[in-house]
Amino acid sequence: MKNDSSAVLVVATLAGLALLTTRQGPPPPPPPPPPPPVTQSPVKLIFEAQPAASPFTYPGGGGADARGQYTVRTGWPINGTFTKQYDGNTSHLWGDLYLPYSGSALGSNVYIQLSIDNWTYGFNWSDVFAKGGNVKRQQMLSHAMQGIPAGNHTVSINVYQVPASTTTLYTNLAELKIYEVKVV
Amino acid sequence: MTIISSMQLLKFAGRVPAVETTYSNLYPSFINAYPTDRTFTKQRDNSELWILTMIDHRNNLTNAINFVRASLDNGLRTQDWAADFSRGGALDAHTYAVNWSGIPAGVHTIDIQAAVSAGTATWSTSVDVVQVYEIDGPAILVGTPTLAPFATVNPSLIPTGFPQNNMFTKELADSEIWAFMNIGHMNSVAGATNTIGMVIDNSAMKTFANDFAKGGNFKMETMIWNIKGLSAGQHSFDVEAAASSGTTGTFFVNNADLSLYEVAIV
Repeated sequence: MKNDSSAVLVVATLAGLALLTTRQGPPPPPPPPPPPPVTQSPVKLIFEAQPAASPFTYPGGGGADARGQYTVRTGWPINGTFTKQYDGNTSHLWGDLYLPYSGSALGSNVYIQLSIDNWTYGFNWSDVFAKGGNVKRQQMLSHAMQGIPAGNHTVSINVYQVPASTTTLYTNLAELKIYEVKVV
Repeated sequence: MTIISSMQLLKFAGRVPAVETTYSNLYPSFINAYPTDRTFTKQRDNSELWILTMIDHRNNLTNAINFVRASLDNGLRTQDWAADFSRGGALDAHTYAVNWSGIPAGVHTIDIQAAVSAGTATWSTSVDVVQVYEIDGPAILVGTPTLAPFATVNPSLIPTGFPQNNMFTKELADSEIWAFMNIGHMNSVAGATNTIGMVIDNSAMKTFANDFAKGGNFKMETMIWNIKGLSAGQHSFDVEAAASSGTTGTFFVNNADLSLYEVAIV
């Protein structure tokens, strides 16, 4: 009997342990979901121009171009081609131009233009001189140029001045970088 | 990790409607210039905001100053810039940038605001844009205002003492350093030029120079430098300054801010 009682006790104990085990509460909650991945939107340098051999002097005046503007190609950068990786508005471009310049006349207004694909896209900067002959070194950072398809494109730097006077662009010191920023 | 590998454009907005607008409210009374749709949503708490704004503006008075202000959440954070004009009616286009950390995730507002020292400012139709980016920073070097105005009559660049704690560590060899600096300055003489240089390791340098339409006018400008080819390891960053010969430039390093980021190029 003793053995029978022990067997019953063992069974009961096991049953109790099983019951306790099942009554320890709900299973631990699953680990929290991982935070959403940080969406990668890399900034990629896709074009960098080398300085020109000598400064570029623009005498001012001249005839209006097809858009009615007195714009002159500087010839810099010489090999202005780059490739955009992503299509349309899935990425945009930044133009970062550092181009020291001087105007011969006090109060003259110089316009510097970054043109992509022969004025299909681009960005205009304008500046006015407090004194003729001063050399200005300024940052010219374009806003996000959007809607440009993937593929090969060309870039050129153009200039015009109002009123007509001589502008010197120190292309021998210039830097031009174009970045592609993925939009997510 | 201090290397920026994530960057999201949260807001891209111009003035709506895109027509010329005029402002004649006198500084420091700012009014909203753009954008009309001013809200954006920041995704993460521990990221930073870059505000980039471009404006193309003029003033009908020679020697007047146009002021521009970026205002986050109706003035919770602000950043001012200023440009003077040497000829009434002449256009002047500018790019300004500011980096803000410690902004919580959620919905925020951004306003680009305007004021003038005199005359009437006209904002052109072609450029005015504001962009809000979220990046996973933080900056690897932050220069906070530390010193009184710094004057120089030396036409050669000399140290300004800004930033005081100027060492930073670059982790990758093939990354870029982006330096963003806002600094205020003036010159005592109309038509004079102030030059500001960013210096790496006491040698590599990029200089910015700007002239003044009127003696005593104040300018607050943004300067950005993208630096390639810098080796991994410790480096120093200094700001140097000079005024054109025979003039006195004053650099308000107590009104300056500097942020350096390491950006992974992929």
